[in-house]
Amino acid sequence: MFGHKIVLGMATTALLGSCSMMMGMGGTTYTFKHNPNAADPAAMGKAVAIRKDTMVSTTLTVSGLTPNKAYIAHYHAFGPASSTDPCASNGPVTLGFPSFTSDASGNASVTVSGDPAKIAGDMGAYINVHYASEPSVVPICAPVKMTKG
Amino acid sequence: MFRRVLISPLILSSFMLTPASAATLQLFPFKALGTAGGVSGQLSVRTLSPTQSVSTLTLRGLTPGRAYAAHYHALGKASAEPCASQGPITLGFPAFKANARGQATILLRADPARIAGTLGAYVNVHTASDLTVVPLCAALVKTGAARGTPVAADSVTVKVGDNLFQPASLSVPAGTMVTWIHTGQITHNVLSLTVADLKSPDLRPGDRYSYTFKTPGTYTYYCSYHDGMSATITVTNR
Repeated sequence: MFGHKIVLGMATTALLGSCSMMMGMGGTTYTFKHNPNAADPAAMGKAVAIRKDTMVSTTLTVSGLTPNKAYIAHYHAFGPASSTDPCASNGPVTLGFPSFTSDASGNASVTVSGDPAKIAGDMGAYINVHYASEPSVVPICAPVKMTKG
Repeated sequence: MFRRVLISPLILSSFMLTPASAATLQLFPFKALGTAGGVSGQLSVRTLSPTQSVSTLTLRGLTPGRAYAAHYHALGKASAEPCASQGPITLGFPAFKANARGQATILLRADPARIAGTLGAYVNVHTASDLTVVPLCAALVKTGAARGTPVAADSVTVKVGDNLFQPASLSVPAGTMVTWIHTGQITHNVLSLTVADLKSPDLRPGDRYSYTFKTPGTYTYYCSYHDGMSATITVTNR
């Protein structure tokens, strides 16, 4: 099942090309891009957000992480450092995913369910995956909202 | 630009925190006098009750192993500047020696009345062998301030822990420099959505970052790496 998710993620990436978001019946898909750093150079993946009743459930499916390493991930609001590049804007955390650890192959999947108001508009501008041991290391980021305001 | 406000790690000891306006703890930096180089420190005055206060000197850059004395002085007549006013001693700290690294921490418990107003205008640190040698002085009253009126500290500190700011809520007068001191184990930062230049670099254990709040208002700041790690500073008119 897990491998199935990875395959789906790769297929989605290929279909989207440079576009990072896809709307559909299965929810909204955001594609992770690698940040300009040397951490986990092969890291990639997607985030799928699905509205369920009064909540939004978001599942991250990522690969290329350091095997057996602890990570944290968050939705962030648009920060002050950029108005057009959410991943570079340094915004505050608005919704945190449960901490997770990559498997022996460097794959991981984690889901959070939250109040949509917490990530509405600029409140949910991007999703970061950080090293748990050093949160300033952010291998990958998925832009959700490309422009502030 | 960040580098101008990132201060090297210092000995932190017990003087973390404080709303200066809360009157429970006030912080006063020592300034080096004369040719004494590299010597610095801070005086914290914690008022525990109407009859009990604790003054703590945290000093560094002293001559290792050397004996020193320190005293509260009343405001003298020689100058409106407390440290130059040559006032009489009103209360003495216990005699002490700098450790092998030139550091010292000295506590003094006293009735706050003994150092109230101009009775505790400044604290001098003297060499014990020659009391005329005064490498450090901390002024507790400001030049030009109404005599007998204690003033709030011009700087306060906030602990940056894992994963919280402490205190989470702080009220300071305009013009106060707030210094965040990383006391945790993992990287944090200090950022604001509303104040563009309130932005620290990544702070690691022992790092400091300072920002002076000049305009009254309520400011929320946060760490961009951790869920729920935010706090508020209210800046009031002086």
